[in-house]
Amino acid sequence: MTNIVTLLRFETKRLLRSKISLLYAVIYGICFLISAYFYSMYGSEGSVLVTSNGQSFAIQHLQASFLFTGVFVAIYASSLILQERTKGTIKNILTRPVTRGEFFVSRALSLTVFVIFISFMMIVIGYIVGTACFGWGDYMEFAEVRYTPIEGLFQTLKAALAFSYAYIGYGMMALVVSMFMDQMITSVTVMTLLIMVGQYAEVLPNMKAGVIMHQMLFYHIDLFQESQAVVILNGFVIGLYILVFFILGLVTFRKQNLKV
Amino acid sequence: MKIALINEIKKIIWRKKFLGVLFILFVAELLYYYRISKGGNPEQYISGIQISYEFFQSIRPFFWILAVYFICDIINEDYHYEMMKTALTRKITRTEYLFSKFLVSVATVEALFLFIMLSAGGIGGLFHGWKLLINDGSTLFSGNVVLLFLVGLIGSSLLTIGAFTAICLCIIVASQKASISLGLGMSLIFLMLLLETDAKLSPFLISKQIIELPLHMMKGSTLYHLPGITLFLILIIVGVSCSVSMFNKQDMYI
Repeated sequence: MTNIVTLLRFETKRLLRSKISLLYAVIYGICFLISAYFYSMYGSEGSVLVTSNGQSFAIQHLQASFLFTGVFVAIYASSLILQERTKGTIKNILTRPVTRGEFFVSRALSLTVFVIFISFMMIVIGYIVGTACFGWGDYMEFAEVRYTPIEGLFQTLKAALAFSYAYIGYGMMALVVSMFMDQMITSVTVMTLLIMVGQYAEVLPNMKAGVIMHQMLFYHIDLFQESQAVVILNGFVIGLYILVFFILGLVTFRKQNLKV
Repeated sequence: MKIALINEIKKIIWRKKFLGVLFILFVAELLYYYRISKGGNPEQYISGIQISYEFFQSIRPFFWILAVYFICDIINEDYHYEMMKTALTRKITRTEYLFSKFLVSVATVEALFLFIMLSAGGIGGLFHGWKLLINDGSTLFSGNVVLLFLVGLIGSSLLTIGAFTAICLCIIVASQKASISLGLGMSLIFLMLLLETDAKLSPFLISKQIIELPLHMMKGSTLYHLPGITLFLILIIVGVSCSVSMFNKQDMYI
């Protein structure tokens, strides 16, 4: 357990200090500014924005950043094990008293921390861009329901957590896929193409709930619009993705010839 | 220069990644054609050219993602495997090395584009004939003017792919990291796709002009797109020269 905590602490520090986190923040910022520009030009017809105020801006843009977040999570997940392997640095870690299981668990936890971090970063940037463009506003509105500022903040954080939960499932999948690839570029491209193809699951009403891309797009919205039974069922589907890919990854990593 | 170019081309052929992607695309085209033939084809005038145009429009985001992949794979390869030192000990200058990487990347993505257009057009042409007909959604064009579209397609694809490769080259040389190159390259594509709905910005967007520019050439409105064409040319020149300048100054003792 101590080893897992040490490895996790190291990865979290690396994540917070890396330039790439700053780059992601800039990309989200540009994306949100474009959305605000489209809203000012064409109204809600040309933008994902329905309510134009700082409080409502962040939560409305979670779904819009589906592709960006998918790519960033795939990059991070691929870098966790694959990059250590290709650069040979995994040897340094595994020659210390750390088991492969502990190493994999620490990587899975790092992925979870990253997904939560990036979701909350998006919320913060959303608040900043939204408030700068439209002002803070008197209420938060989402899914045709109005909330007081405090309640709105709580609901936005709840949505961000639900959003992260779905992306953890996708991240676990990316982590496992990366273990079978020779380069990060290939792994990320495969995962990006998968999320783009996965969007077509929307045309299959009976199957879409079982597709992680559908959950990545709608799980945080379902919290506000669907019945509790549907939310629990969708949560179970995501949990199943996390569990299955975690076990698959752990088993694969334990048996894998690391060739370093 | 010739040695570096031949070496890069051989690498592309031997690795078979490219051929694998072409095979997957061909299967996707067959599925696409099956879908439109199943759905009933109400347009009697549809041609092979029309099918290849519509197929490319539908897979445009996928094409650009694959373009990012191939560009990063070709240019970033020696950084990734830390083989730069070995590559540069041969009888080639750094400029020749980078320029050959740029040319091979453009040629690979262009080959991918031509494969999509030709194979989709070929499948469509087998069933709908080889007529010179195309419909852009509002007007039906026929005859020699469609030939202009085909010539424009090659020109616009070379221009837009060249401009995008130059941007990616600059990013890869500056960052030297696959994660940043991929993240920025793909984000750039998504941002361009996002901006496509704006009519004022559309002529300047690489992602859209690859297929829109030949249509405008056919309609005789090329002049309207001259600022966009100029921007793409500037991007190629500035992107390549900046990358060469940065690459020549880089510490390669890795």
